[in-house]
Amino acid sequence: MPSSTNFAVEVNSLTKRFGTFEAVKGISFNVPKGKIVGFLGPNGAGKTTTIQMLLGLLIPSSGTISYFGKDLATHRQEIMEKVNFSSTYISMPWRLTIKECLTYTSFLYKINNRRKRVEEVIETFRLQDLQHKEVAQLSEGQRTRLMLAKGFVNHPEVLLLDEPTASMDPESAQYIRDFIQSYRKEHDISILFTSHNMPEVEDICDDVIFINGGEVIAHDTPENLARKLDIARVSLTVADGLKRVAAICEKDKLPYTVNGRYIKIDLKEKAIPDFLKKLLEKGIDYTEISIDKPNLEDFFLAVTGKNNHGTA
Amino acid sequence: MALHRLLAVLLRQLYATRRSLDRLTDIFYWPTIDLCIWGLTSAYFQKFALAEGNIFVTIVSGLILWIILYMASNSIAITILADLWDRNLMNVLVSPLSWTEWLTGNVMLSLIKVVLSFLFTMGLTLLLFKISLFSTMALFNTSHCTTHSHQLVDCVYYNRINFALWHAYSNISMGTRSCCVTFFGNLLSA
Repeated sequence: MPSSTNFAVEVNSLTKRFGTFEAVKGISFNVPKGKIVGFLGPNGAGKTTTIQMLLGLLIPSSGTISYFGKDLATHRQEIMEKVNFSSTYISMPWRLTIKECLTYTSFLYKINNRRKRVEEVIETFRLQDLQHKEVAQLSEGQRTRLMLAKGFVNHPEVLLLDEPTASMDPESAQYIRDFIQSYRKEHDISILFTSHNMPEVEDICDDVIFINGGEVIAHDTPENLARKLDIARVSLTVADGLKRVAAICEKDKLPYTVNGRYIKIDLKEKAIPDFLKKLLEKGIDYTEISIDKPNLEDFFLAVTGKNNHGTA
Repeated sequence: MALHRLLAVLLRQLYATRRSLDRLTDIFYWPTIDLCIWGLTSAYFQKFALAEGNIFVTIVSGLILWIILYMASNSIAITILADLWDRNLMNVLVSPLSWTEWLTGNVMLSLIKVVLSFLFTMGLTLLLFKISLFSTMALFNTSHCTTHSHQLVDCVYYNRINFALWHAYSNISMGTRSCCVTFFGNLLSA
């Protein structure tokens, strides 16, 4: 589907109201071609509502959604040929085998040589040994792999993945992440990726859109979002002088927690050298030190107000 | 046995009932429909079938109609609901498939089921009771009706219109209603 725009998905002033409740409040964002964009937010933030609108399952109260420069409202069928969706939270017909599920799904799309394509995705998602098993007999992880296979069956140009590695063992999850990244590079597809696994999002996503209360509150790279927090955490195992460390923290109004000989202090990154100098001046003897820079999870917790380690 | 625990069980069901169209229709809608169906059927028997003196053909032909109509509405409802029960509906709806294609496909499957069911029922009727709808239709066309065949055709094409309409109404309304309630219920809860 050739298009002049550089964006695979463009969302403009998207709003969804349920009665008087506004679940999505005029959000705008883009998913560039060939990029993996994380779509994050706490429960009830409006993620699912937005995804359902992006898939044409819900009609927006106002605003527009375009794929490849074409309006979803007027070109749904054409767009959906090149879009797919995979979620851990949906399934396939329980009495069908994996192969039957994928075969019937392949008939929903215009695909050349369906039989070959079904065999390819079965192999890619390591379902060869399970292909004649009914969906009802699969484990959660195996079912998740089936859903991913279904998501890739039509060679999508845009893929919406809802927690694609949930319920998977770490080895399978890593395999899927690697596959997604290599497939993206090979086919230049765009992926909107939702997950609550922050290290996974940091690992796989080029950009992150953060939504809360129905509004986009941040859109940046995972690194830049984490950098928005100017607080780092210094952890010390103190051999002598724990009370003096606590006194320094109280004097400088630094939040800290003590656990045995172990103390964690939250302070601005720029203040760390001065803080360490003070420890030296007070003759504090510490045996271990670690400095944790803020990550995406800290940003998530900060903007959802679930910790007080920093400000976004 | 503690009263408060009994109350808990009652409350659980009452809370669900007052918000569930399905459960409310069990209380009010179906008794009304059943009363109308069997009331009309009884009235028909009293007025025509008993007077004609062949209640056997009347009941068997009515039953065949019942099976066909039930199968038609039920299979449409089941094929649509199956996607909901399997949590597969979202996969279907995010594909290029249009509503019209989805419904047409399901109706086609239902028609196949109806034809199979109809042929099976007709065969069984022929085997068990020696009544053939096909022969009675041919006889009807050539105006050589036996008493039985004439009554059967008569029953199917004319006298059961009321009866059949009620069956159709009740079955189709059951199918569409349960479909709509479950579908929109699931959609809203999703």
